[in-house]
Amino acid sequence: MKITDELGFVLFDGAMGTILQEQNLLVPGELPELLNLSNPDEICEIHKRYVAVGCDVITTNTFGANAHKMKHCGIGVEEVISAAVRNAKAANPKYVALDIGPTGQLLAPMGTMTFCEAYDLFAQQVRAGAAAGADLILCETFSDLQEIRACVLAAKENCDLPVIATMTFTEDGRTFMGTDAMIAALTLSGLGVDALGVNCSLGPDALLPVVQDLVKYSPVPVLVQANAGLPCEHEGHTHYDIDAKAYAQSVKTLIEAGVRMVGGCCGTTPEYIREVGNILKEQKTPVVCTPVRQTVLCSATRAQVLDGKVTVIGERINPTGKKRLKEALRNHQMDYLIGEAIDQTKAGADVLDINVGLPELDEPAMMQEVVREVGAVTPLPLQIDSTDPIAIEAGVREFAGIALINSVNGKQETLDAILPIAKKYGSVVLGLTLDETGIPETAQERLQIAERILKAAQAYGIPKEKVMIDALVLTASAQQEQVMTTLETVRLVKEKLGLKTVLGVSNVSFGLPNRPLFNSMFLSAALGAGLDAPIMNPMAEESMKAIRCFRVCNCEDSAAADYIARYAEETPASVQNATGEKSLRSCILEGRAEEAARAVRELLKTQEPFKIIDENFIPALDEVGQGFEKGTLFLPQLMQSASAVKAAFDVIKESADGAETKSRGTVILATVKGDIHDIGKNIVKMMLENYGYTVIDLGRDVPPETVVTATKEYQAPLVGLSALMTTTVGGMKETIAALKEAGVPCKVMVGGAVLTPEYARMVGADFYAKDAREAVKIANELFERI
Amino acid sequence: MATEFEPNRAEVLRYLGYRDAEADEQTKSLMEDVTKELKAISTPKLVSRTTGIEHLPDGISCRDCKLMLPGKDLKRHLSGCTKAILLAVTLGVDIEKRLRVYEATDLVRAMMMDACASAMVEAVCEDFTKQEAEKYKDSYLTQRFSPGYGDLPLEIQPDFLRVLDTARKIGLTCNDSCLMLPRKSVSAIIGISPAPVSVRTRCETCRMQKNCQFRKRGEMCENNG
Repeated sequence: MKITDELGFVLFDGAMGTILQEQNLLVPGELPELLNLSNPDEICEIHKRYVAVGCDVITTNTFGANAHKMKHCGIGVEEVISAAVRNAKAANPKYVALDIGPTGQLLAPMGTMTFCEAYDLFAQQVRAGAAAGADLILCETFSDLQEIRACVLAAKENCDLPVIATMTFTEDGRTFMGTDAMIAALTLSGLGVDALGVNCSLGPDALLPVVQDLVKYSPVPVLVQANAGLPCEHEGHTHYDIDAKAYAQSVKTLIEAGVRMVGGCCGTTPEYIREVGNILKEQKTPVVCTPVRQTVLCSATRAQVLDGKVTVIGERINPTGKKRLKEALRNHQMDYLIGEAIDQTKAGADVLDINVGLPELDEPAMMQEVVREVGAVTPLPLQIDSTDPIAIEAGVREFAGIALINSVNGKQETLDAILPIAKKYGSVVLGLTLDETGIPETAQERLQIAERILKAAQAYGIPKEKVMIDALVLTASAQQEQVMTTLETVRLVKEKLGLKTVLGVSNVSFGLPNRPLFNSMFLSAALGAGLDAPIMNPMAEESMKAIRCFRVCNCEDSAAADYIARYAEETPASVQNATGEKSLRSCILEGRAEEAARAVRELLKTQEPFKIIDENFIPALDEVGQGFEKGTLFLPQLMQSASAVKAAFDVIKESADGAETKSRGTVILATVKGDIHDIGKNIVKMMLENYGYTVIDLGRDVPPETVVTATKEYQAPLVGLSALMTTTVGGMKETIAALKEAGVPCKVMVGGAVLTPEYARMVGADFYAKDAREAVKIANELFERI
Repeated sequence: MATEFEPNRAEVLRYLGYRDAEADEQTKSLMEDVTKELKAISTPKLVSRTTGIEHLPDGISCRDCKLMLPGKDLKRHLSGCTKAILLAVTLGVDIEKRLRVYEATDLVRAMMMDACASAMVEAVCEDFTKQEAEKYKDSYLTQRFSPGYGDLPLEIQPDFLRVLDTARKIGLTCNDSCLMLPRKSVSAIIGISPAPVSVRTRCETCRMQKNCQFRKRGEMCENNG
């Protein structure tokens, strides 16, 4: 029998570490996993005590048995895990669960361990556990949704055992990383776990709200392994404030809420589990739960429920027809894409489309990188948009949450290629109403395709609420009679199939004048027809106005609060220029970005861009820089001025359009491997750009080889490296050595909090830049000589 | 969850390179604005453990947990102490995310937030130290001393955090470069002594040592003694 065949309650064991510390077998700071080898009898004895009180599932003593945590102990993962499984089996329980805890590292982009590295660590544990004869995999105590995704995927891809996944939540109902119970339940069940839940964190009573949400949204059984209340330290010993009887009483409430699997975490002992077992016997059978079924997209920290509201899908990160974005993708200017993501988020998008399809790019690799980097600056769920199934899988695998896949259509080939991906990762899938014969001219025929897509999805095990339909917008200028067909299709799909609908709204106005006007009017009509999620430009104010009006009409904006807050005091746009014109120089000196931009716009009418740069930017920057050196001006002021120049520079770049301003030279910048403190590097970047340099910013945590490759590729005469910590200065030395070894003819300047001129010499740098001002001077002197 | 901890404004300005000079209004108002935002998104969490300590020839060894703290500077710092408090504090991951956004859109604000957050972690530590001083009324507490001060190597950070189980208890981790993540975090040791201890800091063992504006100018701050 498998644990997945159990229909009644399942009783898990309680804490291991608590008992080990009580018995003085374990001192804080030691690896408890090693006791599987050094003290197998004692470990087995603890397992036996849990079996004796009626546990169905015994978890192995392998929480931290990953190659990263064990790298210094001299014993292999396989050895520890096989001993642990052996010890658990010796207690003769019904099931042995291979216990896997987090890596102990923060994953990229907030940390430095990659998703793949975490996956590999977990996969090794899974394979070892399965080989040793474990009956199921238990991924537990995770607080990072991305890390538990890596663990679950590793489990599902490396063995055939059932997988259970639990996360740990704090008092505010979220994990340390900001994931709530609803997001955990939906994402983990989407990945196909056999049960999910919560462990550690708090006492069982305090976990009730979390458990209620898990039960509400989970289609699979819910497991709770709570702590014995809160820990209190006394004389070097840790006690918990809930006793066995009280624990079991609180568990009873959880069971009444729909929990089917219970055990214990920190502070619980066989005594607690015995009491819980008694409660299970009293209750006899689990409460039957019906999870809420609705269409939800989510990131690790934000869920967008599509039922009963309008969802704006931001379309800006899609190179089709966007010259600037194409250029950014080709030149790997991630900051441009990041800027687009932030702007759309601020403007009110609910979901962001990510399309990076350019023929000359490695689309899957780019998709993966963009999903990761965009995910670091926006909490919004993403729509993974590609025609390449490999790029789609790369995107949804990287995305921590439930993504929307754009798209499938009625072609069998597409359905067979993409629906399995949607099923595997729990994604929502968007179906276009077209097939081998093209786009049908009638709404009825489009409906039939939608129906076919739905049936195909269901055949792959994708539930109905995870299918959305794009009724396809054609241009009014070319196919005028088709505009109403689209709206009719939206109506029919909603009425006959009950599916959510999507439209790429702005297609409609292609070739017509005043597109914002036309788009917003068509959008209003489509919303009236029942459109759920327009794909549109959230920066287009006309369209956002239509959205906000509609949100009042459909009672989504309760009491019109948002509408009123936004539009009550709207003033006509024409009064903006009321502030008197200031000279560009004083705008820069005073650090007034908007005014500086305005002043440049004025100057551009009469002056050449390069003249503005040479006669205004550079002297003003020099003046501020000298003040900074003398100590009459400080870093915030230097930066305010630099920001003003940047804003002004952006105006020049936009206006030049093709007739580009001449670059003074190319500089490579990177924060070295292992380090992610990059504010200093970013300050240097802005200053260098202000002085007219082309900066290739490689980002943070950059490996030496990346610096070497980029320096060669761009033939950059100057490389700037930053590191904040003594422990990462080593990465600097390594990078400089790699550059020398590769024979790259460049100079290297270094900077960062702990660096000194001596340190700089020691790591082999050519220049030491104590601050951003100094970095500019170094560049100026070097490039003058070239 | 918001916090009421206040970053010390003078300290924030020191981080930004100001000394005696009065900051301009623009900077001050930015500092207040950022502080407000920071208080709304911080989720300070702290974990601590008290342990007996042993003075060995090559450093300090903890009696109640597996931790060896090598070097002569900490030994000097803890001279006369029989026990010590190990602590770790983090402001949480939301600041990390917000900083990332500002670094891309508003570098001035990012820089200010970075400085304010550093001062805020210190405020959390300061508050904890006060509470502990209450608790150990009959003893004397030393200043906080962190991995990386003096000759206590940063490389002990992973061990230090493991003893406190910080990943599990407060979501604080440390990477292979011994960098604490989330970044706005502090780990430290406070000595408990039956006899009075000096509350003054020496430059070599000061947390500002590596980044001290006074030292860069060849000066000393008022704490030095």
